[in-house]
Amino acid sequence: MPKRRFSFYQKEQKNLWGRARLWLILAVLSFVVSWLFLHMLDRYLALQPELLKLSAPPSITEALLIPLSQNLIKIMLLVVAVTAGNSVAQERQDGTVNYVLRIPVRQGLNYPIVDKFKSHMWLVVFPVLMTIMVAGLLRLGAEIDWLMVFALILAMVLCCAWLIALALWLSSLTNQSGFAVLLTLVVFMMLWVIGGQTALDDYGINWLNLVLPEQHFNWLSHGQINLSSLLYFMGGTGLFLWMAHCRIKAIKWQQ
Amino acid sequence: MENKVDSAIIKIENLTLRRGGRILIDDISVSFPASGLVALLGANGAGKSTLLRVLAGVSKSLDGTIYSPGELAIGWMPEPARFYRQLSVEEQLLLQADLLALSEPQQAVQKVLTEWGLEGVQKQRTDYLSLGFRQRLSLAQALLAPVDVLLLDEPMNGMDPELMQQFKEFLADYKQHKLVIMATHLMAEVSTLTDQVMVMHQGRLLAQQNYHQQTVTSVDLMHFYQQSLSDWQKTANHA
Repeated sequence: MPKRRFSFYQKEQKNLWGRARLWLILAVLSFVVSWLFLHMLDRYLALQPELLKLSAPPSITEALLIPLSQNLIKIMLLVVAVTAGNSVAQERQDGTVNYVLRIPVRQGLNYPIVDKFKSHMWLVVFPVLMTIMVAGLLRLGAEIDWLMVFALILAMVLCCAWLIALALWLSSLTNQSGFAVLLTLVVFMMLWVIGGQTALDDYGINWLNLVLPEQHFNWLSHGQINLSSLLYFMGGTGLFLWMAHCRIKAIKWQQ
Repeated sequence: MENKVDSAIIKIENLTLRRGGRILIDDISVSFPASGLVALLGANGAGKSTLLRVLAGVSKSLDGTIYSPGELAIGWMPEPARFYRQLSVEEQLLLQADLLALSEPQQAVQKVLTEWGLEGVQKQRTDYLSLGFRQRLSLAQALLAPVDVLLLDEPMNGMDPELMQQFKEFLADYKQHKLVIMATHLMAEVSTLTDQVMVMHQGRLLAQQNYHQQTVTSVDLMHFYQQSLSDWQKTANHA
C-alpha cells in the first residue's frame, strides 16, 4: 500500500484554496487592478508628450509599474486580512485548535504556525503574477527595467510575508473569527494611514517611517535595496510568527 | 505531567483549575490504575469534561500536580467532537496520523475506518456527518495510535444500538489491559463494565468506589451517586 500523508500544511492549503470566498475576492481584485492599470496607461499616454519635454522623464517602469505595485500591496492588505487574519481565530472558534495543542513534541521544526505561514505565502503569487503580466505587456511597446521589476517583486514578497505574520499573530489574540478579521483590517489600515503621513518629514526622516512598513516597501520597490529594510521585514516576520506561536501555546492556560 | 508514580498510572494531587474567576476543578486528588474502566459521574457542570481536558493536555493549571510513569500516550474523545469541516473523513484521520507521526499512516487509517464502520463515508466531508458517524470518527481518531489511557467524554451520545453493542464489547476487552476514563450520564449502559466510579459535583470529587470483580447494576450506580450527593449536601449544610 503506498504511504499517503496528509500534513497540517496540506490541510492549510485545502482550507485556504478550497473556499469560494477567496477565489471570488481574487477575481474581483483582478478585475479592479486590470481596470486601474488601463486607466493609468491611458493617462500616461495622454501625458507622454509633456513628460518628454522634461530633462529626465520618468521611465515607464517608474511611471506605471511602481505605482501599480503600490496599489497591489494595498489590495493585498484586504486579501491577507480575510485569510490569515481569520486563520487561527477560526481554529479557536471551531475548537480544532486542540489538535494543534496536542501535537507531541518532536525533533526539528514542526510548528503549525509555520505551516500556516507557508500556506498563506502562496497568496503572494497573485501580486507577483499581476506585476509580471503587466511588465510583459508594457515590454511590447517600451523598454522595461527588469532589475527594477525584480526589486518590486522582492518588496512585494517581503512585505506580504510581514503582513501575513502580523495577521496570524493578530488572529491568535481572539477566538472570534469575525472580530479577528476586523481587528486585522483596522490595524493594517492604521499602519498605512500613519505610515503615509508626511507631516513631520520637514524635520528630517520621520521616525514613524522606520517602524511602519510602507516606507520600507517604497524604498525597496524603488530599487533602493537596503539592509535596514530587509532586516525590518525579515525580523518582523520572524518576531510576529514567534509571538503567534507563543500565543497559541498559551491557550492551554485559558481554556 | 511529571514522571513520578508508584502503582498508579496517573496520580493527581491537589489539582485546582480556575478560569474567568470560576473554579472548574476544586482541589482534586486521585489515582488511576493502569487498567480498568473508571466512570466519572456527575451533573452538567460537575467538572468531568474539564478533568478529561486537563488529562488530555489541552488545559493547564498551576495549582496541583499530575504524575505519570514516563510519557503516556493518551487518546481523547472530546464532547462535542470537533473536526476540520473542509476535510473528508479519510483526510481527517490521515491528518491525525500525521500529527501523531505514525510510521504507517495509511494502514492505521484503513484499520480504524474498517473497525468503526466508516468506510462508507470515508470520502464524505466531516461537516456533513450525522451525530452517530461523528462519534465513530471521534473514537477512530482517539484509537488511531496505540494509547495507554483512553479518555472518553460522553462517548455514547448518538450511538445506534448496533454501534453501542460494538462499543461495549470493545470496552470490555480494551479495559483488561489499558485504562479507560469515561465521563457519562448513561449509568445503565456502563454499569456492567465499570471497575471504579467517581462522583463529581461543582468541580469537587465527592466520592469514589471500587467495583473490581463485582457485578454492578445501574441501580447500584444510581444509589451510590445519590448517596454521595446527599452526604455532600449534609456536610455542606453543617458547614
